[in-house]
Amino acid sequence: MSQRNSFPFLLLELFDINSGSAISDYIIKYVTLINLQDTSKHVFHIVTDRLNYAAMRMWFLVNPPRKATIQVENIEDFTWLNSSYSPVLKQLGSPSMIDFYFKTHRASSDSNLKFRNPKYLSILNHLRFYLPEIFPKLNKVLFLDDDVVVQKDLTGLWSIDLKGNVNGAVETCRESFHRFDRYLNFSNPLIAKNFDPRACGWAYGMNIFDLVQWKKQNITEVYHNWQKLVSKTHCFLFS
Amino acid sequence: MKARQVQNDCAGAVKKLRAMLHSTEEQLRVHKKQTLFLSQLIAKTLPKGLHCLPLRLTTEYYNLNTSQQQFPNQQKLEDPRLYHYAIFSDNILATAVVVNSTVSHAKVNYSRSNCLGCFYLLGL
Repeated sequence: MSQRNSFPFLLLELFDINSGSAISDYIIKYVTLINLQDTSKHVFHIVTDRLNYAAMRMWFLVNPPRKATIQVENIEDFTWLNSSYSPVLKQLGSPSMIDFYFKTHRASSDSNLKFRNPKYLSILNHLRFYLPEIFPKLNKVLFLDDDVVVQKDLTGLWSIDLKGNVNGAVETCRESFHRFDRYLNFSNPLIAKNFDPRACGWAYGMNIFDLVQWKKQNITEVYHNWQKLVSKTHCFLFS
Repeated sequence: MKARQVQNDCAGAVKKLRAMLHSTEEQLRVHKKQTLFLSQLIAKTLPKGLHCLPLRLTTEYYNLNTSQQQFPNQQKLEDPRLYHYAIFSDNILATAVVVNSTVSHAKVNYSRSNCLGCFYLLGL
């Protein structure tokens, strides 16, 4: 114990660490490891709507997250994000879309209830498809949903080799659960040609994005093309 | 004779008081009902974003002068060597939880207050 005088007394006090214990070594290694991290290297980019903009800024002005940097933006200040650029914006305002989310449906369509939550009408939920436009100078961005509670250091995610892929995420599928054939209508030749029915669905809550690859592979345009197809043939693409 | 008159007055007064009490109670009932109705109406019709916390924060924000409304270290926003997180949300508390939990697990200091974080992190 005498060798570890530099260790915080609180830990010693509470756990009565003896030098031979594996747990104490683990704690020491872990605490030393996280101590190498420096919060001043973390930058949080928050985008919110007009209604919450001032309040969101005030919150983080009063409660700054240690040395991390905060940016709060109003989605309405993204002038490039308009219905002539983004097909999804055009659709969100369309009467058929509003009917889809707000009109009562027959009991048989209840399996899709999860996807009919009106929250998907908010453009904030579609903003993740415009990351290169929002962060033109960045190479990698970690997207976090607002229902996430982080319980570990995340910095390792930036050094993962995505091997040319654009999105790194946690897969959520099982044998027949959350596979693409559960979501997409593979009797449509367009779908059958472009997707693998056994491909695995992934969690949306925490995604690392390689924006260099995104731009290289022109993902925004691919997304726009699919969005336009969806607006033309909505019921044929999804199962 | 006089005593009788007083007695009559008394009975009248009691009657009058009873009537007043009754009408006051009735008024109270009506007002209670109205309060209940109005508070329900407010709860149901107030846009989600106008609840108490955002409203208070918004007022406080516009009471600051322009220099106080700025965040520090804005030169870091476009530095690709740093760890950048994107959070898109209309929920202030939820966003605060994401940011705080991320930061508190990114670094733990050798101090009493911060060590609460490391116990949590170690699952202890």
